[in-house]
Amino acid sequence: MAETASADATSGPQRFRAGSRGGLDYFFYFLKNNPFAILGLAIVVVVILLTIISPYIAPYDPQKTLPGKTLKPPSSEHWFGTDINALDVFSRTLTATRTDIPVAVIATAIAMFIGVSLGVVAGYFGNRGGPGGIASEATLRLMDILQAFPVFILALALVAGTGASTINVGIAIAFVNAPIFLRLIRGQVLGLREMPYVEAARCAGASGKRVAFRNILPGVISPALVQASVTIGFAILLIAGLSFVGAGVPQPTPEWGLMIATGSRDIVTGQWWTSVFPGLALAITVFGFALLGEALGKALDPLQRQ
Amino acid sequence: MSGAMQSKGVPALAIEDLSASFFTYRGEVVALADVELELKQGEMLGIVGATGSGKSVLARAVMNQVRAPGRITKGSIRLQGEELLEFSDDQWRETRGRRIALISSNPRHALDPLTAVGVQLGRAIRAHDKQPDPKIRAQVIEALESVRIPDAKRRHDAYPHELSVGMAQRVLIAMALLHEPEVIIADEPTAGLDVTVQRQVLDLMKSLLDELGSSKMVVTRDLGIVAHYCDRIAVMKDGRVLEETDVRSFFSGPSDFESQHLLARTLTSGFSAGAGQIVVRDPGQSPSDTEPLLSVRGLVKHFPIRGSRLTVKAVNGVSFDVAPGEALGLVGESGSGKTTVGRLILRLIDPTEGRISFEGADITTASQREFAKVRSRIQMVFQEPHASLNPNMTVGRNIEEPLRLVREGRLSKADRTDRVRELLQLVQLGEHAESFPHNLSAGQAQRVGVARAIATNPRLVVLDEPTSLLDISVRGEILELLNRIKDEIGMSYIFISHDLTAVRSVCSRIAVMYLGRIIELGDIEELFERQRHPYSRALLASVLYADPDARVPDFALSGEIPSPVDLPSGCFLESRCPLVREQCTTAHPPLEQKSTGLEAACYFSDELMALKKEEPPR
Repeated sequence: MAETASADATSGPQRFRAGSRGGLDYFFYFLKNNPFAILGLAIVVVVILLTIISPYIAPYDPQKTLPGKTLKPPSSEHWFGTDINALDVFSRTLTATRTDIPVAVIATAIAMFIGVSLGVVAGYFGNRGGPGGIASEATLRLMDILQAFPVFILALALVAGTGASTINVGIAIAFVNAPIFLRLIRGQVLGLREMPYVEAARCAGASGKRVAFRNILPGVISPALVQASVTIGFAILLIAGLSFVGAGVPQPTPEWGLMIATGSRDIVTGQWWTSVFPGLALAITVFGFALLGEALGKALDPLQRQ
Repeated sequence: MSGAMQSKGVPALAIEDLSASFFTYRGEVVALADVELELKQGEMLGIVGATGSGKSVLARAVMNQVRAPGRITKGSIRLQGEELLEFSDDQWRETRGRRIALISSNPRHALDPLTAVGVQLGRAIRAHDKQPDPKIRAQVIEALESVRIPDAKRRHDAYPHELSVGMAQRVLIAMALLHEPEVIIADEPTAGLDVTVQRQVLDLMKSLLDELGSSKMVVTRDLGIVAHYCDRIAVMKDGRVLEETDVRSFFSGPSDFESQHLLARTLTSGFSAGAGQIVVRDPGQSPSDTEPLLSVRGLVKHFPIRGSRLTVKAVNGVSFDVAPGEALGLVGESGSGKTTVGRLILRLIDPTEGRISFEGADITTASQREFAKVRSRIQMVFQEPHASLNPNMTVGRNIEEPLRLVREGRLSKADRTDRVRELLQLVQLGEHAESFPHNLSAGQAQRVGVARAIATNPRLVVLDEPTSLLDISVRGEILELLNRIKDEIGMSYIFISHDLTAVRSVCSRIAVMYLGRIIELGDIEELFERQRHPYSRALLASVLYADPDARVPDFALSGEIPSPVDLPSGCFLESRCPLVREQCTTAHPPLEQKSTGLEAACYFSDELMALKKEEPPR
């Protein structure tokens, strides 16, 4: 009897087992068939690397003015030229990663933590009536109100209320992104909680809390990660946007949005390099995270895997 | 039209040396290996095999529907002598639907949910035959009538979700037959249907196709279907055809060893087995004198429909007892409320009315906290083997979970580990403690489910369709395991299933349910021999035995199960029963003692007995 069963599992020439964890094999196979995933991954890796090493490779001090070098065009000495404050644009573009990336990543992590935990609770206890149901309904409506505001305006209002600083920008970003995670996770949980294995856990005598966090939470981690990658991209855009309108990171911190804002006045007079280069860096980074998110979603989807 | 291309001697479909592979990240997976097959003019060929044997890929290959990462690597498929593999896309468009048509399983999913079925049929006509709208409409209605869909004019404008599954399957059959194709491929044509409806649909399909003279290829896992409807059979395993022979000689003794194995398993597992089969069962304890372990009285469960004052009346007054060590089968088609009863007993949902007592104590109104103490003594095995295991935990951890959650007398960590090892031995999966569920086959996963259910030594296990999603060859294994556990440990079972023969191999008593009521209850052998309710007889008559010579008792119900939202006022079977009288429309008959050991709810059970078993009722 045991023999027939194990023969079932392994029979057939290289019979493929659905959902088996191929680990590295699968990773390389996936990359080979998804060139955009390679691109996204490459961009993200480079950006993160720069975040770590940019102060050591930047040719000039990003915050120290170079006397007599105001608004020089790109040259072998200053690859991206210099700006109106006589700062080296290349060094600033590189080191800006140290502001944008950590703030975006940490803010997204906080948003994810809040969104996922509330999402699991709202999904598991929601749609059921009783005090849990009411509380989760109330949370959802609150999220509706938050999401009714344009994200940028809401973040702007938050920073305006608390004062422009790097930390406040991070808090604002975490706050406006939490509802996205909450909705996503709640939807996933609503599906998972009807799975037979969740019912089996209840039959085994598991409490609601245990079912929600031991049985359901692990199942929603991968969609949350996919969303996180996309959210990091948008968070970077938001930091830059806030800084651009002067409600974000204060001068003279190197930051892409701030640099674009500073340089925008010079474009009319022909000095394009001060905003175009940080703008490109910003666009490529956001693009990279979006691609990575897309690829993650594809790679982690068990249906796509087959 | 179909006759024009046929010439004597040339097979309708000739498959030679056909191989197909899927190219995945783990390399090439061979799905078909040198398949040789011949479909003769007008015959019905049954292709059988377990999950993953390549039978569906074969069906798709014939329709040119093998998609990336899959590819046909070599071979030839000839339709009336024409090489299909050399067809251009345009030629294929001409061929599919007109010369080769597919009847797929899962009819609700095969139809476009946003388009009325009549419109979909109309499009299928127009694809090969441009005609003015009114003419097409007339043709569609005619097609719907030909598959005996009542009220075809109105159904023309119905959407798929408004049809029952049986109706939707008929629509698919109508669609496949529109252009009178030379070859029809039916891929598990009745997989999602209830047994009484399955008979109706297969009979209809067979008679329509025979009329047309089309050649038919039926892909199925059910040897019963092959024995009854097919002329020849091809057995597949691992992408190879093991044997291709006529049905009669196959069932009298297949020549290939593997096919013998398949047939033997089918017969010994008590599934689809004909007269004189080996029934793996020990009669067990009789329920009489002992205090019942579980007692259910007047159980009612109505589910409210959101945004409406209507309710789904899933369970409508169910009473029965289960004695210690007894196995009770709860049998019925989908919508009979059998699963709801199981969930009510486990308190996964709360009853609308009625009383459930376990070990003499009333557990109906026990709070979840109080019920938690009883929980380790009532456990459940679920229908879906993989989905019911937590995918993020190892097999061992899955089995350990209920042990960790016992309220009183919890074992120490070391003892739990020992217990898990012991359980894995019992279900013969000793080496799999550290595997994850997705590395197991369905049969193995279901054995883990069984091990988990018995981990806490429960007194009652509710088995909710534990074998219905498994391959025939694996079903027998699970049933043997369940029998062994029952005998060795002395647990009581409630075995919920739509499959009478499976229940017969484990249970000594049976309750037949229809629309949320028990319509017949008692000794299982008595019920098989002398059933007193027309519904039980129809259920038994619809079992297709894996024996082409078995005489099929001809007792069929008309139509399909009524909606549980709007129950009939009289006997629930009134609209389908061939014995129906005036009295049946007034009130539902009560469950009454009809013979020793058998109770039935029918006013005319004596009349049913008077009908000779194998004769048509009218």
